[in-house]
Amino acid sequence: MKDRPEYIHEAMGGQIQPGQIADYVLVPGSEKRVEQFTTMWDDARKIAHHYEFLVYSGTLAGIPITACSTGIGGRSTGIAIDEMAALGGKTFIRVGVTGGLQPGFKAGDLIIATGAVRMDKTSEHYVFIEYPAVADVEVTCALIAAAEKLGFPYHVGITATASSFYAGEGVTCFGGYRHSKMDHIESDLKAANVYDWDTETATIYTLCSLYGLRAGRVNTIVDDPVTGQYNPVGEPNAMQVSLEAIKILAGWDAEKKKRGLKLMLPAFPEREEIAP
Amino acid sequence: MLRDNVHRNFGGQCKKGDVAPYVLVTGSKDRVRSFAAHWDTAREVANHYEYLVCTGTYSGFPISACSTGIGGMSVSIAIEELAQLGANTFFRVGVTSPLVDELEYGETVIAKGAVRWDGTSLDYVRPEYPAQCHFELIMAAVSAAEHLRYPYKVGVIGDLSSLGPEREDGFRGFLGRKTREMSRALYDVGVIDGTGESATMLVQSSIYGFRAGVANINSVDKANHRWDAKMDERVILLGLETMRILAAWDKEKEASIRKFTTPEII
Repeated sequence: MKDRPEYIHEAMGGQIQPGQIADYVLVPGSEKRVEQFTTMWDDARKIAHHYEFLVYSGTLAGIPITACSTGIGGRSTGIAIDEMAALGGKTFIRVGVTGGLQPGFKAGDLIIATGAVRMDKTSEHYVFIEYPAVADVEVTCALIAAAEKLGFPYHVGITATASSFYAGEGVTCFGGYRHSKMDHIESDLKAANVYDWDTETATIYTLCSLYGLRAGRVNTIVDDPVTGQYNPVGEPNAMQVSLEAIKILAGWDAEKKKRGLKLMLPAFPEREEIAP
Repeated sequence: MLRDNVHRNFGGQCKKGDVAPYVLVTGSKDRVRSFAAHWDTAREVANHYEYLVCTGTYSGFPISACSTGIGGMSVSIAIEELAQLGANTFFRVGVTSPLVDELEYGETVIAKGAVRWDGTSLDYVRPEYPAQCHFELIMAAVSAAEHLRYPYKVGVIGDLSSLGPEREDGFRGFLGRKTREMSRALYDVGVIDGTGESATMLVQSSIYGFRAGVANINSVDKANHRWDAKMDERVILLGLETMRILAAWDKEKEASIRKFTTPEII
């Protein structure tokens, strides 16, 4: 380790040593959620606290695990992913809260994102806009399997990542301010079968896809369509699903290594004999 | 026959029930005939412009195959018509020429998603929207390639409205500067393969809530500097086996009331 980091955010302000970041990294937005996660692990130690990045490493059911808060938005999320990747993180699961966009979604429902609309802007500094922000297949499958196992209601679809929480999602801002450019954004996204709004996923998916790393996301809907109020009822479920998914992935990864597989697959269906 | 536009129901030749939920999509009509030759039953349901549509049964499930011709515009029409006629699962298989030397002759590229340089998909939705393959189709294609023992890579592919001549092999050696820059840009971000029919279909499928996937086989024999049509047989078998696997998984899924197929929990 160098005496001083080259950039201010390198190794989270130079606080992290090589070997302190696990392969499996949870990337929630808030620092509070990192602390909540550590109470659900076997053991945890604080590795770094730098700006909005709070980093803990520990073990979950014997699996080495890290949690790193990203703060809100693409720019800080980009820093978190770049630093965690440089320090050895290989599989990233974002856990957070989301605003639902499709009819029938309820507060507390989980949304597993297969891809993201890249309105984050940050990812455009990495690659041209037409490049797809897609989740890893195995991480998506592990999140689905975890939600099924735990019996929580969930949906699987595309998310839209905004570059600002209010104006970027077409919300009326202070003093009634509106940007006319955003007037149709929500209805266009709904029509295009986008499931929810968030503010980090497109950055995570684009970077991980470029770097050959795995990423997935499970968020819970907190905008209650019934009451119109903020309702975080699903937060513990999203957290549980992400941890269960890591246990499932660790099992698959061990199996892949043992059998020399490139990708974990469902059982191969043998050809049925068709009666003449 | 009356219809509201020239291409509706492939020139008015098809009606609901003439197209199966599972559709193999490919560029050429010849390949549609090759698919149908492997089925238990097959009938031609439409032949309109570049679209040849056949429907039948394969390994006990209903299947269709549809040629799209080349390029996003014709693909977009095909998907719209097939969707209206009852299709909901699309797997495109085709041949490709590699953008880079890393891709071996005969190697299959199974797409996770596509770069949206097709042009056509921009008429549907903003460019930030992902052209992505459905994870069940990615897994089915990998499973098929594994069992057929075809070498394969999984990754992001390029999709181009036209790349122009890809090397200095245009008329009188033409190679556009923009082509060189675009190829380089794709290479720099790990895109190794380019097609002209993927992104449009993937974007339409995501919008409409359908499943879609793409696999292409590199049929350029670089060592011998030729295009090899023999790879067409691989295309056919890979397409059929992928759909067979997916249909079998779907059947199990229905029986177990699960919403998605995933690997077993170890």
